Amino acid sequence: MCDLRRLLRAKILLPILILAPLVMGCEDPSNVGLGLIGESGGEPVRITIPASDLPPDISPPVTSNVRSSAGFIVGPSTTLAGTVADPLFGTIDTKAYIDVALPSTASTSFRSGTITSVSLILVPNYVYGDTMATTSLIVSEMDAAWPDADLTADTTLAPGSEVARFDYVYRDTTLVIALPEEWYAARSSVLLSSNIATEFHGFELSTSGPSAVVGFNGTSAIFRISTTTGTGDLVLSKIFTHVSRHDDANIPAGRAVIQDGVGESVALSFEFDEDSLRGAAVSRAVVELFVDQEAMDQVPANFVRPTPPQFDFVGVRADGTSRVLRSSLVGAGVIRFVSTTAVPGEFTILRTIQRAATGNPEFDEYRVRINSAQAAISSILVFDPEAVESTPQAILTVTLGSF
Amino acid sequence: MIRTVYNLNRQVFAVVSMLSAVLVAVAPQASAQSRSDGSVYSRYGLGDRHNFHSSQANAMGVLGTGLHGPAYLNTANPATYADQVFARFTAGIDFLGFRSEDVDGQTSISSGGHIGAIQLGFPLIARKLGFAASISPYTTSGYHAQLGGTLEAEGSEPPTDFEVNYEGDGGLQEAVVGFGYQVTDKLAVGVSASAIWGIIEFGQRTEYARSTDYLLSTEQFTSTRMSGFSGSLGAAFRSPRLVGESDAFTVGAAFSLPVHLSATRTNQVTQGLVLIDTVGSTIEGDLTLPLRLQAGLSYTPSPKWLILADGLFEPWGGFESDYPLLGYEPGQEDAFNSRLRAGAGVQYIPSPRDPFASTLKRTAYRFGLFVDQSYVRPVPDYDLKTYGASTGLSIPTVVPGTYLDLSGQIGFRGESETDLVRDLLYKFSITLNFGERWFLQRRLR
Repeated sequence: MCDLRRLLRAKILLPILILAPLVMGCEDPSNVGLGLIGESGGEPVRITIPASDLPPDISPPVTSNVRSSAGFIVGPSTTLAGTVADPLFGTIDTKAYIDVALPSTASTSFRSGTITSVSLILVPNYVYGDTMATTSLIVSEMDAAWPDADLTADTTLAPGSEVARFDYVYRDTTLVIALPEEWYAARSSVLLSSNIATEFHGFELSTSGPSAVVGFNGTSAIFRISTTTGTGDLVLSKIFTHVSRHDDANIPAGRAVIQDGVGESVALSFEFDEDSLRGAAVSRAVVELFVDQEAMDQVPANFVRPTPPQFDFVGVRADGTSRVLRSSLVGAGVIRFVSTTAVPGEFTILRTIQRAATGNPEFDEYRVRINSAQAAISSILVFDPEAVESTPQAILTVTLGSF
Repeated sequence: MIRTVYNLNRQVFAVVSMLSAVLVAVAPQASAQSRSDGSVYSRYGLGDRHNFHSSQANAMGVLGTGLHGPAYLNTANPATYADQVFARFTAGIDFLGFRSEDVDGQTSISSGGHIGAIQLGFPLIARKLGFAASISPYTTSGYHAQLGGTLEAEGSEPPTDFEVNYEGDGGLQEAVVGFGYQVTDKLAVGVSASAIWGIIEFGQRTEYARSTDYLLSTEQFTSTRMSGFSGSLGAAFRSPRLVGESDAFTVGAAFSLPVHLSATRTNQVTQGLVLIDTVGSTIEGDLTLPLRLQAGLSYTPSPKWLILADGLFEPWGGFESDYPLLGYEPGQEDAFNSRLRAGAGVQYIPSPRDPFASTLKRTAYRFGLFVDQSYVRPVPDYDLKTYGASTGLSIPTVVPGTYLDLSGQIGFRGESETDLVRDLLYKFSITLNFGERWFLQRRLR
């Protein structure tokens, strides 16, 4: 130590010795002092945030579709006809509109003959209501062209002229509707014309009284014209379903309806930006709506009430635009939306809630609606935020901030 | 003789140059890397408060407010800048360690090295007018705590194991430039301006065992960047031959203005430690640090002995911040405690004026005691105090005015009751005080 001169001569040794503490160090972290860091002790916790009630939203879905060369690929391929009187959800009327066209590959030899029969061949793929009741199925001819553009279910078209009316009881087999001779005889020039797509405007299908709403597969439907020289099978060129609801539902207090076709969704508000979540990191989020299964199970004999296949949890911004944040099936009396792994830039339920908890909420409200890839009027009854129990909630697994 | 002095100076210059270069090189890395090597108490407020003004005072447990002499550059009181003979460059490195114990007897240990103060000073008029500048830590925050456990099943939610790591890092630095002027033989005054800036970061990383349940690991990160300016006034009054022929008594005081800090806080939450999805927010705000009052005295009964005592007062009860801090909510009054510090120490040099005495006899031996009441209150109405002792050596080199100072501190803070922890803190410092006559023409000796 005394021979500092030699150390100085070394030039390098002294700086190394002096700087040695910079690279020295050890760390043995434990939970010592954790009680000082945060009120919660810093442990992950589950927080349940109840939803607040908002007025229900009714946004009728688009129920029209135009066939492409490959069929009804995007959008609904089913069209509905009939009336259902649900003791719980009330009466819903539907009318199916279909138009026809010759496929480009079809033979046209039948045009040179005389029409011997015309029929509509429809394949049912959906039913809602009393499957044993008899009703009158009415086939009307559309007198004017109707729009190709996206039509929402509440769009009303000018009524057609009645062509035929007959008794109908739902069966899950192909329905063949033979149109009367006087009708096709009067329109043979139009039906055999190569311009049938523009000169003929299709049919309206409706019923005269409540029994069931039946869905028909637009892709497999056929408008068949038989002549003395052959048969022409015309496919549907476009479809549309009109839906209207009567004001006779019997919804118990504290319940909310999620209904397809009509487009009724449950609108909810969650206080994801409340003070208790300030600075919290959200690791998992589950949003739950509980189904009033007891009320749903009470149906008359022979009555079929289809369960909606899938639900969407949707974030709605102040300007009305929205994004689907998560989709879910219904199971065991609950509609549950569970957060998934976050992907950069992707809107997810977890990212959405995290942004709100960080003080940057993107959405003003949230809606739960039926994922309506197909036209349907399926409904479900859930407990709303005013219910005594089983109210909608979000369960968050979070690590709270230290301040 | 001329050649010898020239060679020695060249050697010392080489060492100092290398040391400076390495310090400059490692400083960014040292400040950028995680320094979670302190006590959990540094999580409160703006972190642990520091006062380093000279290695001499540091080894004696005091600030040095009443220490007035040319042997050391002392930034505790700008009035002392007046009394300089050598141009001085001081750089130090600290090795700081903590052993924390809680009420259950559990312990955690952390330690690490830090760059200490860097000081530069020189006389404009020898022993009349002097300039000094320094950079030193103002506060530091550094800790690492870890918690493991199981989140129990609840309703439809499955149980899962977790581990949470809490880490703090960063602190404020203070840069000071000032002038001291010897008004009369006995009275010196000084003024200095300071800039305070820095970043304090807190992180909280939560990891789950069952990632298959879509339980994303998360990291919460808060970074607060602050900067502001302040100024200080100081005075020192020295009275030689107070009792005997060779004694001297000095009393000094310094006052620093409150500091207004402009700040930007970034709150960031990262979801997923692999698949990164980060959301965050940035908030502008202000903080106001309290004024600082220091007073001290020193007594030199003979050149062999130096006795020092001083105190510090910072009224943190009036601290204001737009941001919440641990232990403080915006608008809260008296959330923090007044900081009080008192220390006293003694220095002994066996042969202070004999250049031919052995190194051991020319070495200064120092010892001191101090008590420091922190400005933070980890629990209501609790005064967090540190009781400590300091000791050190100042080894003279062959270059007049250049010393290698070694010092150590040991202290206790808090107590292991309820949520509190008791810290055993220890610190070892190496400081090179390089002195050289600048602006003077070399003459034959």
